[in-house]
Amino acid sequence: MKVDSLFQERLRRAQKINFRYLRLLFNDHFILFLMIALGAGILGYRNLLTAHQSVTYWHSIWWQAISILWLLVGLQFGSLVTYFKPADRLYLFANDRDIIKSYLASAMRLSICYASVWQIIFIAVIAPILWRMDVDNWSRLFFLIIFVISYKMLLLMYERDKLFLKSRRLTIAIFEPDAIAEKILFRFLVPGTLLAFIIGLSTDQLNVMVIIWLLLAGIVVRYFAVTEVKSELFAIDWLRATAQAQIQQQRTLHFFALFAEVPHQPKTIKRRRYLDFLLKRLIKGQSSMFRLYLIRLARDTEILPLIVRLLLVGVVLIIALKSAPLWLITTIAAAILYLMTFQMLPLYDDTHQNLWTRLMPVSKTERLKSFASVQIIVAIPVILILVMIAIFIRPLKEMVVILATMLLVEFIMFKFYIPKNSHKIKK
Amino acid sequence: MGLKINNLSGGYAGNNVLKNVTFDVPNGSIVALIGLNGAGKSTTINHIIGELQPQMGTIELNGINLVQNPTGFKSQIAYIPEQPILYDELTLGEHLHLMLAAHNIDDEVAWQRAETLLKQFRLDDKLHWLPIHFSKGMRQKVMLISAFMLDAPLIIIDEPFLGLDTVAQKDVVRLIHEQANKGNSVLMTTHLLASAAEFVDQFVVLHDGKSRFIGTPQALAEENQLQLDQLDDFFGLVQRELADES
Repeated sequence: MKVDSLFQERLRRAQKINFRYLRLLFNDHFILFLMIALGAGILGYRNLLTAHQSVTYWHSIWWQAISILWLLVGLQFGSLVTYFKPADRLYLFANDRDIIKSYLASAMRLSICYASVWQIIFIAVIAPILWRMDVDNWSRLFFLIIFVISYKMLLLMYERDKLFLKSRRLTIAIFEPDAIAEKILFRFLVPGTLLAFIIGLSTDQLNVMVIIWLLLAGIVVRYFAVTEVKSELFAIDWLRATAQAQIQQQRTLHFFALFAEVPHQPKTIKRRRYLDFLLKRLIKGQSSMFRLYLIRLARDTEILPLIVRLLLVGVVLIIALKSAPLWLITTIAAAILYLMTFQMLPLYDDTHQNLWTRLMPVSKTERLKSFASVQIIVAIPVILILVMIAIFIRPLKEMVVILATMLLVEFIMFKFYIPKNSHKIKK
Repeated sequence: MGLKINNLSGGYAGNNVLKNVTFDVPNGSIVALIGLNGAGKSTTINHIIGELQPQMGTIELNGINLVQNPTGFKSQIAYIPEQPILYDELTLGEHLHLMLAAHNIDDEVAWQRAETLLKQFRLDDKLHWLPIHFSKGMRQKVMLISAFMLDAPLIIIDEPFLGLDTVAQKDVVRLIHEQANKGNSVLMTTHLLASAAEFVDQFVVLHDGKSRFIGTPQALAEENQLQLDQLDDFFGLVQRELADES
């Protein structure tokens, strides 16, 4: 297979996998989450836009800061997609020139396409607020779009440049590769400052900035562009390139894993020593399986962060919808608890996949009981936090309804949902 | 009593690997299961540890039937697989405590055994290490410590010397002897017949899913007209025999 068709082949394969996971996703809990989150988000956003009609409110420096922050978050989306595989280090390393010339060029085109879509989505979401902030002239908005997309393109070129052994990074003397300071500078400070100019400058000043930016961007593009001649001079840092591709692939899989089961995910762990004190107290006098589930959960890099993120989403939604009907708040709280339990199930299955677990002289009933107990340990703080938030924004009697609903959901999870969904475990 | 395998037939779905395998591992004895690749050693072990369901036959350990009482059966065995299996999230110390808790063994008494083993395998200062920091040999040592500290009535070791340095290999042989002297049974698989002949009581030769020979190392050597220290040539003889047959 020729190098230039290799990328297309990998792209086709990756798309096939993505479509398969998307099908899983849209048949699964994602729909539930999407409906709740999107519905609640749109409702809250509409309330925000209609509730405040005064010009001074939207001209506040806070809205400028929020808009810039939002666009900066958008800039972090859309990474360099190369589809490099670990084995490429062995099989492709002798053909760096063609890889750089054709394979990486295709990878760049695709990455720029994906990244541009992300940027347009982020701008579209914030556009109504920008409009109210008086960024209501089309040329300013157009330049904002051009700026964000072109800046993202430069970031991608810079990322590609890092994959070369003979890297020409300007900052190499100042920063270590991938230093946090470098990320803060190029991903936040520089674009943040420029965005503030675009939003805040007068029309005349903006025209000057457009010219300066186009010139500057042109110089940087020329500097990072890989021409026929330049491709002869570079070699690929395969270790870095394959690691970057793996991280990128893992991120995609993690996204799918948020809502659907993704098999064969590479596993990483975090020691989290700061949780040891809590763990010691919680496992004292408990069964071996309880210990095992809890320690694994505490050091897991997928399930625990996911639960924390779900809880944060719940908190944000409840606060954003403080004037929404009670049924909506209650549904959100119940859905968060359900999704949390759903996300914990792989811990049970995955623990059982380990031969060591299967060899333990512990019956299935005991395992299930221990797992359900761990689920309760996690559910208690989730229920408490969501109810506490509700106390601040809703009348007391409504808080009681939310609490009662969550306790009912928890009972159903403990008594029926977990035992039913452990069907995969036969022994 | 010990381990009794009687007329065991079974294997993986749609693939009946074992055919009427019968052998015993009496208390206090060391038995080595040997055979060419694909002979059925791993399948036999997978049946004994309860990973596979027998199609026919029985597996009993000290009178407890594996199918009828899997939890009671498993509480009597310690297993050391060929490839170390560990939980990525648990430290070495946590692995050992977990194993003791799962077997309902008094932590304090057994922990003394564990400490001795940890010193012996030079892992006593690595109790807080996670498996990610262990070399392959160290991982294998963790499996050995976890199994030997249990003092289980039956220890099953799949290729005991794989990945171990020579010092550790000698330690393993000594530990196997200790277990046998305490009255526990040891069932192991190996390809190093000449080394194993020095300390095993019996060889069970599996071939094509059937037990083809059961007897002492001396008997196996005599039957094949070999010296004990030439037993590693046994597989060569089997292969030649197979080639002649075909």
